[in-house]
Amino acid sequence: MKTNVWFLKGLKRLGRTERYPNRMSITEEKPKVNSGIAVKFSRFKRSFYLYQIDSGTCGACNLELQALSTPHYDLNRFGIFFTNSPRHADALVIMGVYSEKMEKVLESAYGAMPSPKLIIAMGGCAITGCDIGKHPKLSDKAVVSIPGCPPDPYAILNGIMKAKEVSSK
Amino acid sequence: MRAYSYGEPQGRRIGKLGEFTLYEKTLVKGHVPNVEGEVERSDTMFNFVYGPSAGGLTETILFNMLTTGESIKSMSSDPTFKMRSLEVIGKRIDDAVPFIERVNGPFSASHSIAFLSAVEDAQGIDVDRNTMMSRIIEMELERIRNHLHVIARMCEAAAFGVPYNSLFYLRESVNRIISQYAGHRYFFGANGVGAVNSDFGGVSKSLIVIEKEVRELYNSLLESKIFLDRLQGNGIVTDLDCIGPAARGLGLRVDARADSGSLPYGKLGFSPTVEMGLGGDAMSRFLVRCEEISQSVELIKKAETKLGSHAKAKAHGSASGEGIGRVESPSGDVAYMVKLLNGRLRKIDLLSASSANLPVFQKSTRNNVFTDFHFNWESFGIWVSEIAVRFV
Repeated sequence: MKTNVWFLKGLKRLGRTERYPNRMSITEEKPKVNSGIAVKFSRFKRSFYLYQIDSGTCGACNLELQALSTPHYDLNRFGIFFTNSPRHADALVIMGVYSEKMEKVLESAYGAMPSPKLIIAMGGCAITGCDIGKHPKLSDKAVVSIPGCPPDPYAILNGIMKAKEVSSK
Repeated sequence: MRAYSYGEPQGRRIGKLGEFTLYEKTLVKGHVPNVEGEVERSDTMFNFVYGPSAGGLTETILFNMLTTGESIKSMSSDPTFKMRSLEVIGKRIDDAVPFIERVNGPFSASHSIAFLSAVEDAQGIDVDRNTMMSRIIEMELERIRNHLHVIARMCEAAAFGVPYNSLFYLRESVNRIISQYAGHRYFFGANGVGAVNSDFGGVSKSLIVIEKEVRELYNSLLESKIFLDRLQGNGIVTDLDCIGPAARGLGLRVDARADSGSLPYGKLGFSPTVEMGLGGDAMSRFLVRCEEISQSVELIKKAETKLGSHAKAKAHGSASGEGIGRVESPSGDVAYMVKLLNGRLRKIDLLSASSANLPVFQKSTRNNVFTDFHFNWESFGIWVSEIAVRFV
């Protein structure tokens, strides 16, 4: 049936979200949990809000993180959301290598977040800098590191779920 | 350099490439500056800062908008917040390729193929047909993914949930197809000097369903007056120096696929998609991108029939030389000029589509209102990562 009612077009496309965890979501790139820092957090039992900062990426990490909102992954079903302000964020997702002009921006964003707060370092650049540069300074405080260049959306989802889990213990 | 020479301007102006200005056939010493008139500032105007880190922006960039409260009188930007320095000078070509791929991940195939074309030009390497056709398939897959992303972002700006989610679903499906055939979702590691390390035989079959759904969504979006109202008359380009879909939306027949010899698009009967008489607004860029998705699927089908045996070309040319490679990335021309000495990179310059189109975007925002901003910004498909990069 041909229709121009967008609501019906949406209904036609139901059921596109994949089960999680499934075989595809088990990736070789396991998130690394910094247990020394993780024990400080204990309040993220329900919703979990993320604020992302691009310190110096090639753009691929940005796209992969964005992909979590798409129907395949549907991040919101786990109570995880992106927020447009660090003041509403529980976790700061840092992507990309260190850049001088972004250092203050990162610190301001982290300072604006309410406690308890945590950092997720996403992608090889944010964790070690790879060969592209140095890693951002705040990455040392990361509770969860998600390796990969770029990590695929399931690896990112695993990492964020892990951050939510360890912080709720 | 086999396709370019030093001298007077010849053909269309593409942009700044190192210390030169690149034209269709020639390199001209020096830069032709962008002429931009100053807006006279009155007492009622103030500076509105957007960025460098904001929820609505995919990447880090700072915008300074001079405004009276609603309409934008002029705009400047600072894309250098996320400046990266890539250490490639003095490296062997094979060692430099991973860095070039990471100049801009979403346009990784365009950058690596333009760079490798420049290297092959400098070394005098003739690339075999299979590699050329595989590179065309890579470029077109990248274009489909990017255009889906741009159109989805435009729908997102309108909070138009169903097409936004449907288009992002298709973008992820294309990503998985790329991963299946190239081994990586962003073509990292897929290209080398005189060779492509992937076999794209049968890839067009996977795209048939995607193209059908894109066509259906496109036709439905064209019937949505609310959505089209946000695009029409928004971000009108007046600058003839723009490139890529922004230029083709303006009615200019400019496309590196037609006027650069780096890839043999001519053998596939390629002709640029140009929207005439629409005035170069966000709507015209939207139409160009939608049409180009179908065109890219057709090009992939044709290129696939011309794929030969997976033979590796002789990648041994002269160790020193100078070359230029230029291809059409999803947002416009990407060109590299390289100088090689004893098989190592001695000098490298980049002309990216985003750096050419950013000043054009800034001019196009004049007298738009704030709520127009995102539609216009997304319609250009500008990536800051290919602007904020230098080679050391």
